[in-house]
Amino acid sequence: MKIDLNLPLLPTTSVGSFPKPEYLATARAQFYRNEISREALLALEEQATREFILLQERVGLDVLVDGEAERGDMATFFAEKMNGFKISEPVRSYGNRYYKKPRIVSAIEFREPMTKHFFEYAQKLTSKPVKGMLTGPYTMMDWSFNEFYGSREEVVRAFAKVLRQEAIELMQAGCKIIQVDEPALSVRSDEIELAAEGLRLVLDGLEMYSITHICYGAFEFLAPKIHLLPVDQIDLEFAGRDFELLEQLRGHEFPQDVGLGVYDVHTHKITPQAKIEEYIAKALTFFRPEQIWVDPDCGLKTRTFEESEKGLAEMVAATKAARLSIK
Amino acid sequence: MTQISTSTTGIFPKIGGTAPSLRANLHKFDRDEIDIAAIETIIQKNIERAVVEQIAAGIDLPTDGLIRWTDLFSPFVKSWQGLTRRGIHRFYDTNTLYGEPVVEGELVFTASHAAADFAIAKEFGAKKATLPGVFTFAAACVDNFYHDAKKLRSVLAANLLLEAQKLVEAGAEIIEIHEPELSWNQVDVAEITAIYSKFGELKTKILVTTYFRNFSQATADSLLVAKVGIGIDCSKPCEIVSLATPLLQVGIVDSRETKLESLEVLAARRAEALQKFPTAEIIFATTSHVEYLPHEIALAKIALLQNVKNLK
Repeated sequence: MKIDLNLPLLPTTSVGSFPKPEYLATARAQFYRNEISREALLALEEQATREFILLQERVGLDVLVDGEAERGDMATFFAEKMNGFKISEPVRSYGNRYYKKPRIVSAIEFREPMTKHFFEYAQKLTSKPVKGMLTGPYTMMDWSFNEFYGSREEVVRAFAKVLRQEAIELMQAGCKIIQVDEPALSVRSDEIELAAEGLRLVLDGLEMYSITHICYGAFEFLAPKIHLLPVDQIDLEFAGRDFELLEQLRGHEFPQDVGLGVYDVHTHKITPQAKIEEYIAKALTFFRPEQIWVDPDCGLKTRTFEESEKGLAEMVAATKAARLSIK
Repeated sequence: MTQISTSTTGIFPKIGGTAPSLRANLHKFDRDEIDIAAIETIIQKNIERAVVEQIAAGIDLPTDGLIRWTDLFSPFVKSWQGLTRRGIHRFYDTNTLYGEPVVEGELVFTASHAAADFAIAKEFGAKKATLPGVFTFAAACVDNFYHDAKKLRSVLAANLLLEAQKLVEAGAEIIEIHEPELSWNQVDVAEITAIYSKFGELKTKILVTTYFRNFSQATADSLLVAKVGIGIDCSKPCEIVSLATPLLQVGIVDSRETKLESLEVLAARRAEALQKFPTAEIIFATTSHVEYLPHEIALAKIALLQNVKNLK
């Protein structure tokens, strides 16, 4: 749904997560050992959220995120707040990184608002719009072990029902931009219709600008069908593979806006302003200027706080230069 | 009479069990809190753990667990000349990512890190070693040097053959070559035969296996001509109707779902495999990398394989 967001040309944003401060990791460990209360942990999560908002204001982003101080893994976080799950011991995702993959053991049900508190908290700290952030039904399905439902389709629909309720909670709290992440889709182009159905079930008729984020997959297969996704914007990682994705998209329909990942977040090396300007210029050979939002390739939780600030500052500077060249 | 044995596939869970935590200690190593000798000891303790756990679960052909491998390509990116790595990429349709190998120069085999780890594991009873398949490795690579897909596969094949020879010298009784790419995308079957015929001449058993999807009949036939054993994933649809291989591995316990298979389900899968593909030697295994499962569930799952073997 197109709504007036009053944003500049080439709006800048980030994908979702920010690096967790050390004090938060310590506090979380203490909470799990019953050494601090839930309220004490919440106060520190809110402190981190304030720091994330201040950082985003400092670098001059146009659309902000709450930074996901309260979230660990993007699938496990939601599963822990819904009925129907056991949480497994950790499994590895890459390198030395692990996550606790949810196990669906009974019917998936809405229990309580999952993201509303931190959305509201962050939005009160800034006059700029804050995005609501959900993990999509297809990704929740693909990144959970299924011990209950008979098919993948059933699981997607069950997740979609619960996530729609959460999306409504966000909308009623004043959210104007919602991002429903579907990274799992990047390697399952054969199931894009199922992912599209899931997104439609979550978003249909809601008065919010909608985004889905997809990353690190086989876009050569996804590109011909990507227009099927029923969202206003598709956010993709371009920088990590030096914009080769742009060539894979050429010749295919792309009616939605694009979230242009211009900052490679899986290296300690900061993508410099000049390189990002080059990336935006390349993107303008395929997308119209008013289609483009500028952001990092993915969430920033694997970077340090300092790296994130420097990287985002380079990105904002490059975007400002690009705006001038367009005008 | 078919000889039946059991095995696991691919990377074993790297954390869990009684060995010192690999996860915590790798973080300490990254922060310079422990030195290289200390982390090496911990890696080797975990290689031992992986083999011992497989043996305790009744596995006849334990792997070395690939504990040091961060993905199917990492030991080779680290050891061969001409390779670096770029960003991360999802491995087929999983949520496990690999570092994209980038070919920046002539690929030259130097030392085999894979064989060195297998030699450690052999001390504790490992029998099956692992290599990435030529086509799977090539498909994962960003080629900034040869700019010729067939040439790249040919060079990769030559280097992987040297790795295989080192694994034979290290005492591998069987080498499992992972080739999901052969069931994912169309490949020239003559090239498959040409490449794997050379592996078929090695003085050990070679098993080319797939997972997530199955080989086509034509691909399976091309591997048979190469005189290598074949591995299939019986949790997925399989179009192969005829498979006259002397060595067949059947992925029978699903390593991507936590729900434990009932004995009835496993018995039906076993009976179908034995009836459909008569062979001299059959290995019942996990369908793909065991590390997709949490450690405790992985142990429970691989223990099922002994039940499959003992069914009458």
